[in-house]
Amino acid sequence: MLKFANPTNFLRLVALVLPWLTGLTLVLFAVGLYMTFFIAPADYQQGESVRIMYLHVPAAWLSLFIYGTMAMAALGTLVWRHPLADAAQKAAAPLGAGFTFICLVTGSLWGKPMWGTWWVWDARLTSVLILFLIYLGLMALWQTIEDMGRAARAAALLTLVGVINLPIIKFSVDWWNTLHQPASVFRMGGPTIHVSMLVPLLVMALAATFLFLTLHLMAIRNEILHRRLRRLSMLAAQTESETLS
Amino acid sequence: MSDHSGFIFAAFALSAVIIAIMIGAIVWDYRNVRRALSRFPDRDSPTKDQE
Repeated sequence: MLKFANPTNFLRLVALVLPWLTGLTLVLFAVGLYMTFFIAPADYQQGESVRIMYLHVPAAWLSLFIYGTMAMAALGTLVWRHPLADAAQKAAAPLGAGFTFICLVTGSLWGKPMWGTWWVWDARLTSVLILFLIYLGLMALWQTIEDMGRAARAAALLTLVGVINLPIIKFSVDWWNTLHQPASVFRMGGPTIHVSMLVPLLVMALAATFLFLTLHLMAIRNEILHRRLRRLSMLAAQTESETLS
Repeated sequence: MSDHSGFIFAAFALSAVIIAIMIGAIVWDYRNVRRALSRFPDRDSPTKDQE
């Protein structure tokens, strides 16, 4: 495993697994979407609107999972100062923001017909909005600090501070009286939803996770190549100035 | 489908657009950086990655 922590070996690994990951993601989405629209029943209370949940729940799961991934990469940056850890963290942030945005938008589109409102400032919705803002803040941080080492350490610190928001999001529906429904899949005592809805939901969650893995590997590859380009450009400029002097 | 089909369609369409933007941005970035790297002849040397 450690040999893939080398950027060159990592690029070789990406080239090897990317076609398989892409194919698996497409198959999982095809199966998941078919089950969502043709197998999963309408809910007795929500009606057909429950189909939005097959997007909303996987996006919500990914918004937390991606941040957890970034927190582990942040530890890799701060403790071992490994460049691949920083690249992984930086590459994950826009994806985290994207999936959190999907979570917020689909939640809002479900909330309007079910709750009668697009948005309420309850604990779950507000804490997820804060997570989205943290993702944007991290992306801005990498853009504003020119020195890559300093940017990596600052972003790693901010990421680890932001981890406190994850249990708040998860347990907000238990700790506070909120409009958002309590956990029905990832909970002590097992899921409370019927298997006819649980299976399509899990397939969609798996498809979304594989989509993230695929995009994350592609984005890390880009980040490695950007760093290589930056270094080669600096070397070329240095050689040119030495030739002139 | 139901009187909420507009909300369902909007949710799936917007999610598809956001995912397409993420994929497009990554692919576009990859093509750009590969093009920029092609100016350097030794870009595929494994030793260049030991940063």
